[in-house]
Amino acid sequence: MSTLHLVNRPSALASCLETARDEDTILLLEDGVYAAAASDVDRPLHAIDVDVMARGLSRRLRENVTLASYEDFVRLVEDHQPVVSWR
Amino acid sequence: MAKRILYLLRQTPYGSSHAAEALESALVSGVFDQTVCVLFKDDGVWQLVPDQDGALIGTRTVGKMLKALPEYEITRLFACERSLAERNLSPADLVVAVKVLAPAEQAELLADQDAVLND
Repeated sequence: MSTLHLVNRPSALASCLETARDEDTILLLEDGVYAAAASDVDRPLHAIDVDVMARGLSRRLRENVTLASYEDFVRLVEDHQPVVSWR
Repeated sequence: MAKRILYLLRQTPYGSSHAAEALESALVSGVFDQTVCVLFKDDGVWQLVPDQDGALIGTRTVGKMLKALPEYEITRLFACERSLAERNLSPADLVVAVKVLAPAEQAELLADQDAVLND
């Protein structure tokens, strides 16, 4: 199984990217979603929808970002192992 | 006598309650007729993004609190030029009007205060 990386803060994305393999999934949540609007990362990223909308970032997302609901979050956790948190 | 108080806001609006609490404090200072201004810097500029909705994550909407500042006669709002640019934020597209300041202007602003408070 591939790894699920959880990024809670925008500054943690760089550390996450150092160790994430191409087949891994990266999910931005809480303040981590700011990286969906401001980082210059090109690989696919997922971001929790309510965290994006609460922060006013809906129309600022970069093209490589896909929104995920909490249900999607559960599915991602089921489909990956291990789950790594970057706080 | 009125004191000159600068709120130096550098935290994201929803990562903690610090930003909302500092803004509440600023509003109270305004009520007590202090000479209040606000400088948004680093992650604090994220507080200025339009279309926020804190209800979605069970908290107050910081953007709405900012709109209340002028009602408390807090109209001197400033933002760090670099911090906005680093986050792809346009000064023309923010929840309240701010004056964008270069580093030297921020230095002068800080030096001109009786007190500087953080979020």
